[in-house]
Amino acid sequence: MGYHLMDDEKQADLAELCFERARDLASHSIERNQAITMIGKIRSGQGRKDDAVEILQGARGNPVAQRYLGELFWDAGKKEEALDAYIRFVASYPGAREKVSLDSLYALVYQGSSDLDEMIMDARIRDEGPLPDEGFVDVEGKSYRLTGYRGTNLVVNIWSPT
Amino acid sequence: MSLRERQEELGLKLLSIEVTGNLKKTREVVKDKEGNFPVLLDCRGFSRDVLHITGTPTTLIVDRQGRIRSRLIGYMKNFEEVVGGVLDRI
Repeated sequence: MGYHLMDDEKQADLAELCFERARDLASHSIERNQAITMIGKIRSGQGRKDDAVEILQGARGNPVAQRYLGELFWDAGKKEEALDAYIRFVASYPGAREKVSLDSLYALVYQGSSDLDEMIMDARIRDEGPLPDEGFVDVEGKSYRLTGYRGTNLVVNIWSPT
Repeated sequence: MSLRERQEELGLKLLSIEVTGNLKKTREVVKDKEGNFPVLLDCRGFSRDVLHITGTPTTLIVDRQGRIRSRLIGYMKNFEEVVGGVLDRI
């Protein structure tokens, strides 16, 4: 509902209420942080920049919140904080590094420094807890369980054909 | 060196999960693709409801203890470099 309403400027307040409700009812931090991110986006769009920053800072685990924070901090002249947020965004969205001009912004603030790659990589690694178990079949009908991969490093690519 | 070439050194397995569980479409997409890894069908919304995947593609990197150590969203031109860099550090 909130996503639908936020497309219409006149309904932004109602959209914000929807996302506040979603935040309060969220059963997982990822859902909660997603709702907070949308609240921040609405407040930012309404020009309530300080309110947006305040709430987005509560969604540190959400990379899109970091992007919005980066934009808000940069506009406010808080360049180091902006870069910190952009680095956390790019850590989760590697393909967006050029889109947010991170290398250029970093060079503007930290002239001559070359540790950006290392900072991004540090922000990329965390501990989200155990991969939950589940049973699957593959396209050939063979059965698998995710716990069958314990003891090896595992790269899981989650995709959609559409 | 590609991730596939480094699989043994990194003690690495690759897995693909297709989120719609659409067997016919998935078979069409993967039939001409090179890749020696299982393509699993997510018929029960596990990716969305349990893994909280908010968009595809998403890449999860899981360590030997079975813990999720990185979550990478979207397409990456330098996939091998990014994923290899994480695997070298966990």
